[in-house]
Amino acid sequence: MVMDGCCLAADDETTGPDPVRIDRKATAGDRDPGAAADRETIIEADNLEKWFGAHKVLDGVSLEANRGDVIAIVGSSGSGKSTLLRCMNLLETPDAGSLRFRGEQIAFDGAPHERARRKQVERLRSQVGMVFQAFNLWDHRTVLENLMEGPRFVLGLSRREAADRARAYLAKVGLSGKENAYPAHLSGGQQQRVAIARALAMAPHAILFDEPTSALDPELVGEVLRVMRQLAAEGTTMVIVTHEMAFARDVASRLVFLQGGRVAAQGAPRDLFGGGAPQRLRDFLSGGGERAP
Amino acid sequence: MTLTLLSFGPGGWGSTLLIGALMTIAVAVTSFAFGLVPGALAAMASRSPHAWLRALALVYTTLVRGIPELLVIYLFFFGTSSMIMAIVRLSFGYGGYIEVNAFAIGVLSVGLISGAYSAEVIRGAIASVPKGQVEAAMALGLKRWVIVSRILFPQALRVALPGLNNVWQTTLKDTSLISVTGLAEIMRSANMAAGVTHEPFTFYLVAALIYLLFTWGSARLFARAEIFSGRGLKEARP
Repeated sequence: MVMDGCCLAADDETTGPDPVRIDRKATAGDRDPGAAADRETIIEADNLEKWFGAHKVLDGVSLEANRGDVIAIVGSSGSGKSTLLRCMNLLETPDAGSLRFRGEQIAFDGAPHERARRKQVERLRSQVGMVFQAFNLWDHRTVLENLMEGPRFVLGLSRREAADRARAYLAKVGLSGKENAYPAHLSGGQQQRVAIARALAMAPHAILFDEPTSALDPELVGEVLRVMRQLAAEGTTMVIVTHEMAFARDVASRLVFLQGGRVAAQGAPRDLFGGGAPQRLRDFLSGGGERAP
Repeated sequence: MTLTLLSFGPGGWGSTLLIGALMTIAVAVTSFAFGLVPGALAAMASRSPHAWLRALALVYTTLVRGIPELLVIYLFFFGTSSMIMAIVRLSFGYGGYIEVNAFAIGVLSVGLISGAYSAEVIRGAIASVPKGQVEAAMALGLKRWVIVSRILFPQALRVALPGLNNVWQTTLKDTSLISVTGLAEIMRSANMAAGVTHEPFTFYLVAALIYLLFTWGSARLFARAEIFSGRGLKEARP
């Protein structure tokens, strides 16, 4: 199936230089699912629908991310994973359904208050980070400048404060010393770590990851997943569209399986990877070339 | 004989030509810079989701590019002066002839011509910026004008520079057409000198050399700008 090859490097995560400390004990598998009720709901998508022309990409998808959740969205190509993710920060505007961010209803249609809608979207985006498959670093700016842009022009930090903050997050992803490099001078794995640092520098309430390792050479996947494990261990709220099944199984607190624009199954990874999974998910998992646990 | 004609002393036309050359530079630089404003606006408008904005951009570029440059200058020169005269007559009752400032008309007309061509170049350059670059900026919550001025335009610039160099050279040469309004730029100065001295070839040749010097020099400046705007694109890793 579509995910061949991309999962191969999952086991390489523990090899190579380790840029960040990993606290495996605290990863999601050990979280208490019962605590979800006391935690703040960050993103609440309800019954989202999205059409691309005559094709219904999202057919009533609901998803809730509470503080500290690590949600892995899996599914084959065209199942609507990326569209769902992009609806959460309104890079795509849903055609129906509702989206709430920390309890606030997000407007999809601006008329007659287009200005207010745009302001709300900008505020939502400034508090929900996004990491793209193709990194999307600005190649005319240095690594440090990439990290400073948001803090300076959205959060209103001075150049100096933004630079200090940028350096701190660059160190966090293990890339101190690359401040003045241009993205084109970095490896794909390094670029994606910079992109993660760029999202972190906004101190967001949640980070959306859109297939963060799919564009990487297999040997570079590990360094990015390591950073993401670290973030999960620290309690960062993350929604991750991924083909890395081993990573999803180990790190995610909840697995959401999308099929044909609907949630076909969701639950704790250990349940879904075990015998209790619906047949469709088992087919998907076995087709993905990933060994079952 | 020729050298005396070109000298800066009495009987020489050196200072006239020098002033003309400076005037040409002044008009060309101002027109080109001024033209970038409607050029960039038209380029943005042609990508707008609003149909009327796209139509406006299309009308501007089609109209200005479809009329000979000289005619555009005439239309502006006589159009503006009749318009101002009409306004003055209606508000102050003064019915005499008012001539508009030739420099201002020159910059306005050549600038709008230049802008119409820049618009096409900028539009193509903006289209070449990968969508992800803008999406990454949107995803941080950056405001639209920040995205346009700090991400979109700088990235489009590196693609646009060779084309803008082309527009600049055309604009520089188009300034010669303003000589019809009496503005003493190179063409007009050479014209006057040629008429008085009956040595047209000498002065037109000198004018040609001055234009060549300008286009050659500015091409070098553009080459440097291209290197600067392409920073960060070197493929080799350090």
